[in-house]
Amino acid sequence: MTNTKRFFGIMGFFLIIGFLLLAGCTTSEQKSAEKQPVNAYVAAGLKKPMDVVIAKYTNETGITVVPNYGPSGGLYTQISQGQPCDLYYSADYALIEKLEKEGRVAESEKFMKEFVVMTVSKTGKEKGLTRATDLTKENIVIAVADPSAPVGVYSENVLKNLNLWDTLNTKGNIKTRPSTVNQVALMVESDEVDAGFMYSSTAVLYKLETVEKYGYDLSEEIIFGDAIVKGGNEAGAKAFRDYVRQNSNEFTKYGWEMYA
Amino acid sequence: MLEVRNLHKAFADHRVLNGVSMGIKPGEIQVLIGLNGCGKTTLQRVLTGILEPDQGSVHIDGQEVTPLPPEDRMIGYVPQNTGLFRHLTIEENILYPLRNGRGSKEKFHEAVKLLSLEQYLDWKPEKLSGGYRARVALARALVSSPRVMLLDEPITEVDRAKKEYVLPLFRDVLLQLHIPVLYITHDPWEAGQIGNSFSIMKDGNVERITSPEEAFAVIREQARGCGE
Amino acid sequence: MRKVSIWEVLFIPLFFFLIVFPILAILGNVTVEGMTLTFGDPIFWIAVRNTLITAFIAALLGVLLALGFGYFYIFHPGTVMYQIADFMNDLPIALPHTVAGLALLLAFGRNVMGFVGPTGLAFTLLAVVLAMFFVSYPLAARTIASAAEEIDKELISVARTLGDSPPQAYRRVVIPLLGEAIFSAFVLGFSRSLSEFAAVIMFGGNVPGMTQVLASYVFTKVEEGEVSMAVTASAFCILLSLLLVLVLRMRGWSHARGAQSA
Repeated sequence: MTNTKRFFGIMGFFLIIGFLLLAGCTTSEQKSAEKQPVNAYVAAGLKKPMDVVIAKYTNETGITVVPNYGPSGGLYTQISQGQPCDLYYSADYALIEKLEKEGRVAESEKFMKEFVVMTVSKTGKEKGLTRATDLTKENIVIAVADPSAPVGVYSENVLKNLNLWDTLNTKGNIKTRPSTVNQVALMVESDEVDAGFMYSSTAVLYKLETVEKYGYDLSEEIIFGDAIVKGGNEAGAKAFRDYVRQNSNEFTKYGWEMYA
Repeated sequence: MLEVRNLHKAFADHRVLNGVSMGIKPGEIQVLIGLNGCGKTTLQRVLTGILEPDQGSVHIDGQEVTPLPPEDRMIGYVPQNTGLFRHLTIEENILYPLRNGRGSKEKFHEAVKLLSLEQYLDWKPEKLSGGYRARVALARALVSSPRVMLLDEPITEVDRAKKEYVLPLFRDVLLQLHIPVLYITHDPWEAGQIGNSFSIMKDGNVERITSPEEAFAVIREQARGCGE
Repeated sequence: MRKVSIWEVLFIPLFFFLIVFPILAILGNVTVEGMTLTFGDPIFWIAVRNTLITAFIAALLGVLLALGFGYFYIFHPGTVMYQIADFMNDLPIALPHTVAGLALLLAFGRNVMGFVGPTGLAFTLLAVVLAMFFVSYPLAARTIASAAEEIDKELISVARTLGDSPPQAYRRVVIPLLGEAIFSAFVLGFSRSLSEFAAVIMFGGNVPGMTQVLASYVFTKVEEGEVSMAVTASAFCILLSLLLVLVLRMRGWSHARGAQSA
């Protein structure tokens, strides 16, 4: 065989192997029904406790749970487009209601309560920031997530209901609108901003100083929900979801409250 | 006067220049005959100053130029592919030395006249034939008021008929300068047309020969293997 | 009938299916509603203006620095400085964009550059430029270096014998000969900057009407569920990119025509 033919032969070989591997990853495996893996789309904010629970579950039952972490809105879009998902944990129950309207949900429930909080960084504390109203002072640097993340929408609600939103924008104190709640937390933690608005659980996770916590009258209900998606591994999803509920202490230690 | 004393240059344990010593007097056109790959390029690079020798020195008119960079050596250089700047016209190419305060408009006109380049001044180099490109390269080097001329196979690609015409012209122009000239070629016939003294590259050394024909035998030997 | 080669059989359908089709999907989904909403949104136009200006400056900076790299490549390839610069060229490309943004934030945010302003260099349009520059410089550098490789080194030797110092030879001989490559490097850097958003969000601030760029505007619209606006804005980006490519091609044609008349 000539050198070029061999080159293309090898390339073609690897291409085919590559495609087969990819195909193998996306099609369900021919394991026994009980041992089928569970595809879970999980809101990014739940990563730490969820990883722990998944590890425990796999250890105890031998069943693999494959998590896909991301912003709840993006995950919603994927499920809505028909991507293979068995179980969906959303930081915004409204998205689950949307999926229900689309007829994609087999079972759903409200899972946990979350609250918007204001946290301050080292410099923020030095500047004496203790409440949202303090933020309208001069030269204050605030991080509020972009509305592409639900926490951004909730934070905006809080500030609008406190009649601070317009002032803060005209003053230009909201200097950054990152795309995830973790990015907001990162900025407060590294002291690049004075204050940031995030979930109470995020504040606990990043060990940040919370100065104010806002009720649902200001932010709107923030309910984490879970939904079993129709047409997937519903039995497996149900089993794992129940296991998560049993292990709710992994979550509440981060500051969430279970939805009774 | 161009003087080279005891030049040594090795690349990765391969000795290319092995104690080269030579001298070229003003008005002498010494032709160095040899195959490619036997050290001519290295010697040329050391002379122009692009390459530093491991040992040895280069002197021009009594001044040691070894520590000097090419821009300070006042050496005129015509490389193998003529090295014309293709983004400039012929005129701009020949006038180039003036950007560095070398030469003058008078020298420019003189060079253009000597090498019959009047009608090509507005042209771009790629439109000229090999022989004319060599003329331009020579003119440009002349304008820079060199103390020494170094030509490395400037018309090697040109066909023989044209060479018969161009070589005597170059010879006259170079003799008029009355400076040391080193002309490198692998073609003994070309050597005979332009040179008034001859040498060959042998075992990393430059040896004088009395006539180009002597070079034939040496070249046949060398053909068995140098590789720079 | 002429025998069809395997290249034609494989390339044509794959190309249309994998490359052209997704683009048509976007263009085909543009609605009047989407266009009214998007083109009527002043935030959109500010994002367009900001993005074009910052990407342009970032690409320009990228080319300038790439020319500097080219200088080292030609005149000092053996040095430590060059080795480091050469190695670093690959790094920003391999770095996940959010990490790149974080790196810039930590380096130029107020903890280091606090003396410049309340947020250091972060959360400003300058930050947007820097983030874009950071990710597009390596492309420009590679383009320039690759073209510099093609230049006959003898030309530089000749220029030096005619009296040029290395910087003079670089300016008078190398840079003019790099011509096309400089333009390509700019276009590459510009395109790359236009599509960058993760690093820009982290370091630039992403405040609508102030530091938000077009790519992030589209992303936000998608996440908010404003699909019609996202599609319109995306279609706008696509047409902009096509325009860019067209400009590049036209220069390519005029150059070819110029070379022919020689």
